[in-house]
Amino acid sequence: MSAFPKYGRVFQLGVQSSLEYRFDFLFSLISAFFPILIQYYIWSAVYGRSESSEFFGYTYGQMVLYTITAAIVTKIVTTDIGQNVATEIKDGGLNKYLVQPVSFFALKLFTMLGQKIFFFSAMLCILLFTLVYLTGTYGIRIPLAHILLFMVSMVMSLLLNFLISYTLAAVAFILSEISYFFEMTGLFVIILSGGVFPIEVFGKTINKILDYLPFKYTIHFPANVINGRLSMDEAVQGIGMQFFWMIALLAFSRIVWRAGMKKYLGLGG
Amino acid sequence: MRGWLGTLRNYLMIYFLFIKNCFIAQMEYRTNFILGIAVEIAYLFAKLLYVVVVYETDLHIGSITPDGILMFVGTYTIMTGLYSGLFFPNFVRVSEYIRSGTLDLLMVKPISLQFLVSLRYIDLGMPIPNFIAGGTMVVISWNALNIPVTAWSLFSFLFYLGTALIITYCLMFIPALLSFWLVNTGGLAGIFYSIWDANNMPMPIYSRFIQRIGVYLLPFLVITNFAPMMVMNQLTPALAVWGAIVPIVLLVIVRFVWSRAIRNYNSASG
Repeated sequence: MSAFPKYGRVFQLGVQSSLEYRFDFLFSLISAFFPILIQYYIWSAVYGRSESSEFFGYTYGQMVLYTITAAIVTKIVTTDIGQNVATEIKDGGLNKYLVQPVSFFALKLFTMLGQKIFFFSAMLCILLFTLVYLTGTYGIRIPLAHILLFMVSMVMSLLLNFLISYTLAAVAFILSEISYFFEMTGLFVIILSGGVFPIEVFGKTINKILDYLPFKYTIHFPANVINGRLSMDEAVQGIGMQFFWMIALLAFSRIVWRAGMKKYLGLGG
Repeated sequence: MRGWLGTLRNYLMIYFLFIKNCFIAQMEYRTNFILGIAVEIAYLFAKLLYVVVVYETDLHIGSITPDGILMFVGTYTIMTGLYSGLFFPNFVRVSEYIRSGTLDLLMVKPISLQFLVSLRYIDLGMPIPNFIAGGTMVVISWNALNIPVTAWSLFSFLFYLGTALIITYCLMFIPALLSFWLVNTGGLAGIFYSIWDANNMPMPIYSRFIQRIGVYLLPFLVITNFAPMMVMNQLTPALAVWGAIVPIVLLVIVRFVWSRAIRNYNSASG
């Protein structure tokens, strides 16, 4: 059996499972809206009373665009794959995949893609509509090339985030009680990625460090591609960084997983 | 009256046993206990970013200075600790009780089912960082704003924290209650968590319309706004009274919906 129909089927199953609870899907769409609202009011108050038109290097329009995009991108790229995989390691569910002629990594990847595709498309449509509206309101012009680059960077950041999650999941080979671990790391990843506030808030030194880590390329970068803060060169360069980190993490996750598998006992299951 | 007091004493005793039992259970997995604290520190970190932004941009909301905002964030942090320690571990379990039929088993116990379902588990680790950080923020801002430390100011602050606790119980219980009808309410709970976060900032930052909804219709904003507003002399008498009535109204409503929910319950498997 060639690889395509096999993983294509897994992909389909992912799509189906994401459509299983339609109300839940609707609710999670709505819940993305609230953090945006809170931050919108904060920034309106900040920019509204101050003489300065720039905070942390963002104009008001850019900040609002950042807030909206970052919240939506965060919703799109976060997966519970780490948690999911770790549970399988812990209670031996991994066994059944090991005897099947499939790659566990590919299996999880295609399930995730299947689960996300619908959400991803719906969110992108909402985002694009918002952008058209907001660019009119704040007089920001977004060239078509940037929108295309944004799409590319979004796909990359989805993959990048999956890889970060998948690599972290290998920790489950060492620690047995891990549910909290993923919640904690997940949250720190979001904070460091610029999902709460733009990372410029952390100050210059930390930003220098973050430039060399993969996190900011998952949320901060795509959000800045679309709000027009990055030049064409910077945007292309960022996508290069995304690509570099994807390869690096792919290699790294291989190593950690190989080491982990040697420790794996396959209890339960 | 005596019978009533007796029942209350019994329930307090059972609640104490719950706490003891949870403490023993948590001490068994110490790593997990510490990781639970670490999770809360991560959340705290996200909240502190708001404080950083407030001071860095010298944010004033109406007449509230950055120091004043700090008190709101502090109160919000304390309330988050209380919520995550006392209620959250229970509310997340409800839909699972219903799906797996565990509820049948709980039903036959000779105490109030609502009490058992909504207060059985206590997380002792999670609130620690929130209490420390939130308490510190409140003390710092209390000092910075020169609010006199009198018996009255302390009492009124604690009183509104107490009412806030009841309101929190009632409001955050709603998704769990609805899972009797909808089964999967993870998404709805997600919405409630995000609404909860609206308390991170003092309510005058929101538009008048949102404030009305948040105070009267779905009184989320009462939770962390009224205590600081009271000691800052910003709470009108009408609102002060409203803040005292809301928890009672909500308790009655929740009790009513709960009994409807139980009547609607069909034992699943189990």
